[in-house]
Amino acid sequence: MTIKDFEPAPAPSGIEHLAPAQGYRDLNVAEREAQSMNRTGQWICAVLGPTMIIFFGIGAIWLAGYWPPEKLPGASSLEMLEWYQTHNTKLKIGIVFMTIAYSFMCCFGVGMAVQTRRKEGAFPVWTYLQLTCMAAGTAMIILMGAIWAAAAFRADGCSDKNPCVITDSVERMAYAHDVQMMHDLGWMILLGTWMPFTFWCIALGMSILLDKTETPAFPRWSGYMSIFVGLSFIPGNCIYFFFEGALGWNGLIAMYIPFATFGFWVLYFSWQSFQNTQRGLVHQQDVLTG
Amino acid sequence: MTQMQQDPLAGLFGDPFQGTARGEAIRIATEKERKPLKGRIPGEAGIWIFIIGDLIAFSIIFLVIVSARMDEPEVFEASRHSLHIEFGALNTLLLLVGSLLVVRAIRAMRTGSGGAPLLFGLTWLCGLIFVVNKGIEYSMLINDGHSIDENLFYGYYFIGTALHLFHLVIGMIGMFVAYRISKRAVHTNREMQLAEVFGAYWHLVDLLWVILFPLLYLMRV
Repeated sequence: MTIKDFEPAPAPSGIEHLAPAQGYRDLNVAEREAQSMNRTGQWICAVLGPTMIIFFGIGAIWLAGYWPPEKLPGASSLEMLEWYQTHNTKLKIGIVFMTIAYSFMCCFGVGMAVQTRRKEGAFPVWTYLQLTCMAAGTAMIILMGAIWAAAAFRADGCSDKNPCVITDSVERMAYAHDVQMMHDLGWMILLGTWMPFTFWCIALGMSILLDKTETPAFPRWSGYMSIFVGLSFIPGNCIYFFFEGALGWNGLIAMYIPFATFGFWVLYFSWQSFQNTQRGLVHQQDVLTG
Repeated sequence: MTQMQQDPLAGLFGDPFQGTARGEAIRIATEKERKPLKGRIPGEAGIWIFIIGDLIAFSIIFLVIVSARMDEPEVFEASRHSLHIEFGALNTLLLLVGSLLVVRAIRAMRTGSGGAPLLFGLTWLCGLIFVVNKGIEYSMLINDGHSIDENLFYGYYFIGTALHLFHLVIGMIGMFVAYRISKRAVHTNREMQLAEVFGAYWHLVDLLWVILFPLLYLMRV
C-alpha cells in the first residue's frame, strides 16, 4: 500500500458547470428584462426575513407582552385571566402583528429555498423538504395566534365592560381555566413542536453541505450553523415538564436559546439571499445534470 | 503492513514501525504532511462553528445547573446520591477510549497504515455500549421511582443526559460514515475531510460528557 496523497478528485463527468452568473449591472437590457421578475420576487422574499422579526417585535414584545413572558408557567388561572383582561385590546392587536410576522416566514422560507434550488438537479429533494417543513411549521404557529386570540376573546367576555357581567365566582373560575388552558396551548405549540423547524434547518444545512461545487448557494460554514440552529430548538420540549426554572417556557434553555438562534438564522440567511440577489444569482440553475 | 492489518491495536500506545523501513516511510509522509498542517483547520471551518455553538449552548445549561444547585443544595445532594455512579464512570471510560480510538483511526487513515476501519468500528461499538448502558441506567432510575419532573435535579439530569445521548447517536452515525470511507482503498480530499469532521465531533461528545459527568454525579455541595 502506498502513502496516499490527498489530491482533489477530478470533477465527475456528466455534470456541467455553467459559468458563474454575472452581476446584475453587467447584464444587457434584454437579459435584465428576462431576470427582472425573478429578481424582484427574490429581493422581496429576502427583505421579508428581517421584516418578520420587526413585526414579531412589535406584536409580541411591545403590544401583546407575550415575550418575554410576564406570567410564569406556574401562575394561577385567575392571575392569567386578569393579565388577559388588563391590556385586552392591545393584546389582540399584538396577536394580529404576530400572525402577520408568521406569514412573512413563508415568503422568507420560499426565497431561501429558491436560492438552494439553483444548485439542485431535476428532483430537488432538499428544496422540497425545506418547503414542506417550512409550510407545516408556519401553519402550526399561525394556529397559535388564533388560540391566543381566542383566550383574549374569552377573557374579554367576562370583564366588566361586557354587558353580561359575570358575578358568579364559579363561572369566573371556569372562564379563567379556559383562558389558562388556551394560553398554555399557545406556548406548547410555539416551543414544544419544534420538529418541522428543526427539519427545515437541517434540510437547508444539508443542501449547502452536500453541494460539491466550488460555489455553494450560501457559505459552506453556514450549513453547519444551520444544522446547529435546528438542533438548538430541541430543548423546547422541556416546557412540557417544568413549571419553573430554565426549562419552563420562560426559561433560558427552553425559550431564549431557541429564539436567539432562530432570529440569528433568519437574519443571516435573509442577508445572504439578499446578497445573492444583488449578485444576480437569481435566474439560472447552476448545475445541469446529464 | 500485514502486521498492522492483523493487529491494528498494536500501534495504540507506541510506534510499532519504529526503526523499520516502513516506519521511516510513515515518518517522512507525516513530516511532509505536517507542513501544510500549519495553520490548517482540522476537518473544515464549518464544523468548528458548530462545535463552538454547541459548547456555548451546553455551557449555558451547565451554568443553569450550577445556579439551580446553589438554590437547593440539599435536594441536589440527596438526588445525586440516588444516581448509579458506576454506570456514569463506565460511560466516561467508554467515551475516553472512543476518543483515543478516533485519533488513532484518523492517523491510520492519513498515513495509510491500515486498521482505520477496525478502529472506527470499535469507536462505534463504544458508542453502542454507552447507549445500552444509559438505557439500563435510565430504566433503573425509573424503577427506583424517579422521573423527570420529580425535582429540578432530575429534570436537569434527564434533559442534560438525553441531549448528550442524542449527540452521541449522531456521532455514531458519523462513525459509521467514517468507517465506510476508511474501507475504500483510496480516499479523496473531501472524504478525508469528512472523516476528520466526524472525528472532531466525537471529541465534542466526549468533552460534553466529561463536564456533565462530574457536574451531575460527583460535585459536592
